Amino acid sequence: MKRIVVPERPDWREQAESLGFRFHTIDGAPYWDERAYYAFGLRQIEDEIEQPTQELHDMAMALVDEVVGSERLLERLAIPREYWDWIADSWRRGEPHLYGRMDLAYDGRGPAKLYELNYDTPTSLYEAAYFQWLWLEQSIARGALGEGSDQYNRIQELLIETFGALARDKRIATPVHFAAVEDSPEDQGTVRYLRDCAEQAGVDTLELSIEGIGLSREGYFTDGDDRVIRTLFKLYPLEWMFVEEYGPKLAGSRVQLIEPAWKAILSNKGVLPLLWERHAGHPNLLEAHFEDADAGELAPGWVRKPLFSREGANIELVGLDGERLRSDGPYEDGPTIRQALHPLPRFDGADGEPNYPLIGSWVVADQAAGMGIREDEGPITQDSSRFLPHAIVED
Amino acid sequence: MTTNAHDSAPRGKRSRNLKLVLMAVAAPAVLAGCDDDPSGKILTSREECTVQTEISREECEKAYGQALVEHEKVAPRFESQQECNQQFGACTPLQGQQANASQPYYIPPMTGFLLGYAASQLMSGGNRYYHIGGVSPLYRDYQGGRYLKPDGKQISTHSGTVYGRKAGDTALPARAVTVSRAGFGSSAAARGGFGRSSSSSSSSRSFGRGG
Repeated sequence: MKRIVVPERPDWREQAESLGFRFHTIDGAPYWDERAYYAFGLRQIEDEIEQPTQELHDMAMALVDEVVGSERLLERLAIPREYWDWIADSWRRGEPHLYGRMDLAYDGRGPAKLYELNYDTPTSLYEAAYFQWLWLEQSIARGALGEGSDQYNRIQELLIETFGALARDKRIATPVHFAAVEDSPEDQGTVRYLRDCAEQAGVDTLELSIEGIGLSREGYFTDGDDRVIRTLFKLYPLEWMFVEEYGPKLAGSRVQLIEPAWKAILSNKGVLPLLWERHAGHPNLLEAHFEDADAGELAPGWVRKPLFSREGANIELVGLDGERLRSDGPYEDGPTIRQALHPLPRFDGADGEPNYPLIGSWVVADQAAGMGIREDEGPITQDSSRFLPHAIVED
Repeated sequence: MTTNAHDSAPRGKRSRNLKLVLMAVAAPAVLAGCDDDPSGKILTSREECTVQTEISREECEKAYGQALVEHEKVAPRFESQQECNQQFGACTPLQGQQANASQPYYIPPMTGFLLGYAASQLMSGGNRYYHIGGVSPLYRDYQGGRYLKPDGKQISTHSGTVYGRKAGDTALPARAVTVSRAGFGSSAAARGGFGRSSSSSSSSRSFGRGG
């Protein structure tokens, strides 16, 4: 694994604009960044990213099966009691899920360590699945990368296949409504991309905003034209829906959610200590524990994460040297876990500036599917981190 | 390595060909997806509605009006009038198109409408009370005389009652009258950082990034 500085494609911004990638620059800060890429060997990808991703995913799915049957565990994950039955039903009915992303710390010398699962509302999808792929194809075509260069990326292909299979097997009702928060261009772009995949699979789709969802007298969710929403892809956290006005209406609405209700278990950082309890010492897991009220000060070499936290918010870590690092955020109010500190590797840029890459390893319909890399100048990956492409160039 | 060798070279870890159909262009007009197999009554006019159904004249007027509104939104669109006329006849340019549209769309006339029955009422057996599950404009195929849904799929060859294959099962109705809105989304607003409230936060952009 190497970080290689390369020239940008001169026209990538125009391409991005014309391909619906309008969030390549966010609030004036670069988000898509192809001034460098990460180069991997095929063995690194297959043995140290892809295979562990599949194994971790399978362990996580086994955990869901255990948690839905255990009031003690549901409580431990701070999932509101009034949603337990609904969540368990969605699992027992086999409600299909589409995708998830696990974040891995990996330095090229294995084994990758699981930071967390983003299994309910993972983003950075379009850039990983499509724009990164386009970068590789064009870089090869322009001679900037060798013809044998490759990329670990079947994400879009599997998304389309999955939508097609779900519709064909009538496991989803069509049209599928896709919803994101009204004022987030990035979330809107991600949802539009997923619609694109669904349309390519021949699935009828409609789009609305999360705020635009309505409720009928009968308790069905409706769109702006009074159509009943039967299958709803929502890029919106389940745990937020739970506490909002329509939360209590979810079960009675008979809406089929993607991601489904049972994903509330896997989007919760409480799965990290639960996985550790069941697979202590697993090479791809970091030691983790629930943090009880009497746990005392965070010791050197440990990280504190809220059960419900996104965008790297409200993370606190204490280095082995005792140095404390904290990220701000709005998730101060809930329960937390402690995870053993395993710092991200550091790859210095051309001017010696530090870069800390985090691997986002994608799972689509239970298959390890591909990878995207977020890079930050600090050791906590946040939503300000940039997306860098990768290539497989050795072996 | 020659170009030919590249074309036939195995590409182990990535997809061969990817494309975009929605993102690559401006947002397309959203076609209303009707039920796959709606149940209801195909009516050719307001008058027929009053005579053929048990709902009041007032409700028929309302349903017809709804269908007309929907018609503007979801009628099949053609780039040429001739092409549209060949299938439907009497096609007209879509009213109210944006002035800067590069070329006008042509749409067929609405020649009927489907008064949908709510599945929940059909299921309850013995209950003769009609409940309007929603309305959809319909288009009559010029040659075959078939009634088509806005998505171009055939719904029936004649007017009158149609039963979808899913009638009686647990499928949700296609439509329902919305009585409230915006019951989701408050957390995003409260947590800050989304769109209009972004000035209060330097960071939050999106949900799923994790980290």
